[in-house]
Amino acid sequence: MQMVLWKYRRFILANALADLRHRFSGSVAGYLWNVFVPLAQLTVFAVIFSVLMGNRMDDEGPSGTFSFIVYLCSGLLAWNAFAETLLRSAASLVGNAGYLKKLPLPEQIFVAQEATGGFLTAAISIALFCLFSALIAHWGPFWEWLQALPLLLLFLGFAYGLGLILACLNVFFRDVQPFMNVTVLLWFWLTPVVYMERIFHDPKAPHPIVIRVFHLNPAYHYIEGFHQTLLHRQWMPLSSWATYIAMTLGVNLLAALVLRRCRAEIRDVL
Amino acid sequence: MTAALSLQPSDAPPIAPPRETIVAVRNLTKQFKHYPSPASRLGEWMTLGKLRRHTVFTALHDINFEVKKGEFFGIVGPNGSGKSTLLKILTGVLMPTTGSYKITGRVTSLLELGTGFNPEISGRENLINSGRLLGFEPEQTKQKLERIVAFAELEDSIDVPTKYYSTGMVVRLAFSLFAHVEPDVFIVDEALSVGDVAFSRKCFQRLDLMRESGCTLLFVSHDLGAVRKYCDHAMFLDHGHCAFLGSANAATDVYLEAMSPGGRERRLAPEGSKAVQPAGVRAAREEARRISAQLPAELSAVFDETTFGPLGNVSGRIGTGAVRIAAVAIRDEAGKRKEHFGIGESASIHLLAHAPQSSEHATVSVQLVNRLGVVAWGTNHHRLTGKTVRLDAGTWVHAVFRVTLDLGPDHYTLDASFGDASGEGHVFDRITAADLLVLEVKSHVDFEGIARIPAVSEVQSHPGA
Repeated sequence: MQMVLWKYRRFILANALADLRHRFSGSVAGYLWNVFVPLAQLTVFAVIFSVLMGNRMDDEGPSGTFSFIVYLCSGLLAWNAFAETLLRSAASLVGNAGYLKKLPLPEQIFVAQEATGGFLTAAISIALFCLFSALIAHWGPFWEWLQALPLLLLFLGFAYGLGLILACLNVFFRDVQPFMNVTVLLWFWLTPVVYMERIFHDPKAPHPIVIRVFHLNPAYHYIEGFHQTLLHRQWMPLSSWATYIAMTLGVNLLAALVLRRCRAEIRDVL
Repeated sequence: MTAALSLQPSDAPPIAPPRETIVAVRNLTKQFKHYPSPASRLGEWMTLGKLRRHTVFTALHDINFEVKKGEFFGIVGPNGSGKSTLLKILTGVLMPTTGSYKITGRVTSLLELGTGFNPEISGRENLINSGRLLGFEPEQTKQKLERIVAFAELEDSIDVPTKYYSTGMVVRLAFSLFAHVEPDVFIVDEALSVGDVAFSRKCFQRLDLMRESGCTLLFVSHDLGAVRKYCDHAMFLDHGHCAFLGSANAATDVYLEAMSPGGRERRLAPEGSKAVQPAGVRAAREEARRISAQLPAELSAVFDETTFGPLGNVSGRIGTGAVRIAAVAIRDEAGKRKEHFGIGESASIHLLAHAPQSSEHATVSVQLVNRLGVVAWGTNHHRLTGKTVRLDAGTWVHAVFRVTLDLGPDHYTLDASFGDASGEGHVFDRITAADLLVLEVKSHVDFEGIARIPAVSEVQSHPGA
């Protein structure tokens, strides 16, 4: 399966780039929307949580007004790429039916194209965030930040695997797309991206079940990784890396099985 | 027939080595599962198939054929007969349910015509993108870009987004790209009819060039003329079954006959519907021996055992079977056996047939077809004499056509048939005997082309006023 992706790497990359360029074609601002949309979202969260609700990260990371924004960005940028990859992947086989019905192209490349696009946007926005953090919030630059790159790769590798499974199912049951729209929203609020995990660690009112649910959530582990590297500037232990690699490989193995099972029928149904 | 094949004309190249098989399709069956609704599919999946909710639709039943290198293979049939499904399987888009196929070399398909094109970007960028899809580095495509654009005659609009192109322009660009990537197997599905007449002609010229360089073509079309003209062999698909496999001429004939009113009911053509098979040849030889033993003496003088040979090789046999052609012989003026004739020599075409059933108004027709599939000459007894023949059940028929071979040098195939001349137009039996007649240039030739029309010429010079 990876061999196929390697063979079509140029096609995947070219398409991912073209897609980023043309996603907003016909609009005046053009590809600037790729920046405006997440910036607007960040601003909304920052205003609500940091200014209105007065969230601060007093004990760790950068101090002052920017502390919460740094916390928010470190998780949200990666999450956005993850969620977008997942949603776009789920629709990708149905959306590219025109190609799949006529060209002997492997199914995976259309999902890989979405994951690549997600990776590129996230890599650029995280780089911009690092710049912001170092220059404006006076937090960094740190060598530990470099861990974010392989971590992002693994996170979106996970999104690719899951997206491939969803894309295959979506061919047969178009319910997957609307179902995922709701699920991703729910998933987002079940993952400590906007709020902080420590609100459940209050010794006076412990929430052991919530903590257990967090740990069952794969996205939680990846997002925590981003918090650790970007915000807490920690070198992640090997055990954490092993967990990430295992989760990414596991979901991809499952995706390969699902694809092999559905492959013949996918084109018949499209 | 083997004897005739080994006697090549002197200027022809020595016997060609057997051409390699490029496309081989074996017992290929394709089934689609039809579910009444997505919910019923979910039900079946949830119960791991125990609750069977789908119905199976078989689009292709047990298809077998082979295409050799450089051969043009046509697929004809009515809408919904499985032609496109077959091509999609061969392109690798769909997977066969059972059976297998093997294609040696690179396949490109005009199914893909323009589908790889992004309407937002220019023709030039699209060519490079599509080239990448076909497995070419951008540099390789760029090298050919000028030629591709020139062939498509789109020099003026190549940098315009393809959404502003007309359908014909997209087809031209796509055909041009696919024709220049030099595939080993080229699959064309009906698409060429989109371009205008001039471009369509250009496409076919290009296809001829590709054939010469060893490209194999699979061609689906409703344009039977094009199939006859360009394809060597063809298959007639009917409801997913291979209803006929043989020469392109015969396949299109069978198709037309089957599509004529009541044609399917007459159930023509099951015989010989598989291409030349060794077993068929052996059976034919045995039949020949049996028939020649029971022939009346005056007929066995003309039809020796060798004249039955060709019919073992007959690929496209169709007919109701009311008359069966048993032997074909070509004789020179002296009544001797001959395959190689000089231009302008006389020949007689002898047909021997047996009539298991009687018929009131029978006629016999013959035609000579050159290697390009062009009918050089053809006629029938009814046309020549205004008479029809009454055939009684159980009799033998001997028909002779005496002709002067005023034709261009070529190898000719003989099509012969017995049929009904009373207006119903039933074909009793129709055979195609390949390479039965070789016309060669013996000495001086005074013409060019396929017909030697009697002509005189006068040339005078006049002094200026």
